[in-house]
Amino acid sequence: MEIFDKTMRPGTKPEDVLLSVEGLHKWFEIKRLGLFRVGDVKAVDGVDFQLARGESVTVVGESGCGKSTLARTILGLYGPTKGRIVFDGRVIDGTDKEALAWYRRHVGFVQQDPFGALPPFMTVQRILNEPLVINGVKDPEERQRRIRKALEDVRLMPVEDYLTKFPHQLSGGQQQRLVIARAIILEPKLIVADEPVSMLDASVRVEIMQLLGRLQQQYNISIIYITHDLSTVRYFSDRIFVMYGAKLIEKARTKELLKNPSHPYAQALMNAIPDPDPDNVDRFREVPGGEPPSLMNPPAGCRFHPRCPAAIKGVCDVQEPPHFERGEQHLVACWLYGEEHAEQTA
Amino acid sequence: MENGFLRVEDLRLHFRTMRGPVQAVDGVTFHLGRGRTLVVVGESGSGKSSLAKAILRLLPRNVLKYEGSVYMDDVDVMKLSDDQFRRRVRWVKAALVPQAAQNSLNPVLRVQDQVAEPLLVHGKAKTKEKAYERVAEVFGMVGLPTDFMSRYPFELSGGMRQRTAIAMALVTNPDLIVMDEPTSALDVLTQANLMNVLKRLKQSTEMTFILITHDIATASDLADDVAVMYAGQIVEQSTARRFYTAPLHPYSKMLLSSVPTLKEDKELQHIPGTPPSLINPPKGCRFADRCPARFDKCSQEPPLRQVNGSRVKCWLYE
Repeated sequence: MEIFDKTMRPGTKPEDVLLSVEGLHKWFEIKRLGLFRVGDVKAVDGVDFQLARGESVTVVGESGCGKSTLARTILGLYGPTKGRIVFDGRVIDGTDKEALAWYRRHVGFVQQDPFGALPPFMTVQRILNEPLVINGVKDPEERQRRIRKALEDVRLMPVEDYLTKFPHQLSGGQQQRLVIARAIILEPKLIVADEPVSMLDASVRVEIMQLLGRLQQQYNISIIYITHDLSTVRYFSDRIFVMYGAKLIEKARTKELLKNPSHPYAQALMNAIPDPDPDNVDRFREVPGGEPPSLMNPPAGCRFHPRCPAAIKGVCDVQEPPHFERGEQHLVACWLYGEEHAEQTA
Repeated sequence: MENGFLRVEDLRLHFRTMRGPVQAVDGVTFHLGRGRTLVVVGESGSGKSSLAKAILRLLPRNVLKYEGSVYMDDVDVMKLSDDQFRRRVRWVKAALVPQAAQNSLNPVLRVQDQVAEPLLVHGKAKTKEKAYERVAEVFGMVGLPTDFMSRYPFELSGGMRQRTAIAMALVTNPDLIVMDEPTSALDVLTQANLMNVLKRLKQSTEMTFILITHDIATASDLADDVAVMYAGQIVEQSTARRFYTAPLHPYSKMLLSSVPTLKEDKELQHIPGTPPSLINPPKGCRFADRCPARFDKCSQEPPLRQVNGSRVKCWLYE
């Protein structure tokens, strides 16, 4: 496999690449009266990246930017409209059902709302038993051993106290641990976590993030962490992808992006997030007005240009910016960093 | 605290449930000066929304116990009958921006009619036209274009709806506005925009705000004072500067060190254990079971003590 993602750690070998997402599109057709096609919601519109084994990346964006659809498409819950996913050397495109089933065994999903993600009528024991039965772990003792191990891995201990409980008897943090236990019980190579902590209290958030980080290290799992909250990112991931209007507009290593956000949207996001500081009271934040673009009729050119304080007339509103290199392993889709490459449109 | 416009003393609100009484608000005392903004922070289930409801007497049916004093301008509003309270306090002196306010708007009414309603009900505007004039004014205050007045809620974005709800609370020009998690359902940029709006309001009016939130970082945008709520009680109240730089109560300290930061690199900590049940809260200090500084005395309930201008409910500061 070829390495095309320039934000990968230098020296990554092709065999280290676990997941390769190439030109991924997911469009949802909108019909009127159930018959006439009136357009598409282009929720994911050309996303490319690669992920190494044991690496974690964060996709950050606001609601409606398509980040959950991206997660679900990567998970194989939606078939892509265009583009493909290559996982561990196998192409997953929805046409090969056997490949899809194999793929799903190796990918875990951690949902946003743990209570909604757990069946209310099943005990912890049954919730964790189910994926093992479905995936053909025949030996009951082996299943029991793995259930215990998963619960210990997520620190739901002593295990006996939890096995007979129902989800509603657990606190929010414990429910999320159970969801994580279910995600790792088949020993996946990749976990996709869609806003895993946004429904939890601050004190519990840290715990869950640290747990995910520990599991990643211990089992060398790759993690795709989807969030709207940049402030939780630095504790977690190797790289950040900023998503806006169904596209990744900036990709960089975490430290680099937090230090040197380059896309005006990424800068606005950074400005908008407060650190706890009593001086904030006297400070107004610089935030662009306006709303995120409609994904049915996205603006021409750069999708951020109607809100962008630095938009260049005749360029940003006409031509879509490609990814320009800005420093090492740092890509940004913004004409400010490569205006000379724009076609002159007098 | 200077010029105490709002004084809440030993306020209690208990609910009746199948499993026994829930002590959602249990002996809350605080003072708030006119024109100041108090942020009440706490984890979910700590009783902070119940506190808002108790102050505004917006009670569900299963109330078991509702007692204590709430003084607004030295009048104990707890002594007023429901009817008097509705006439003289709610909307007139104090208004609420409810949690998930963007979903609390009536979907079948134009927003101008909803925002104008308290004016007409309370006789602050004689005619609809007069009321609309005032609506246009408050729309300006929260940064909504006036041509949105005749729209329906579904035609507005989440941030716009939240602004509408704030406009509604402002419209009668009350002394106190209680906001319950006004930004928690919004996107980061929308939230920052709304915080700017609230800051501007704070600077340009004499209004007193109580902001209830679990988001400690965002709270620092507005807070003059901070009250930390834990298991139905306020365990610390101090000025924002003191709280963010040198918190006193062990719970406040741990809460602050669990907040992720963007600009500064720090080791995050979490608070082990879970908050106690409000049905059978532990005797003595309610945080004792999770507290790293616990000692013998913590099995008795600590009083709320003055320490250098802050109040803290902890035996460490005796």
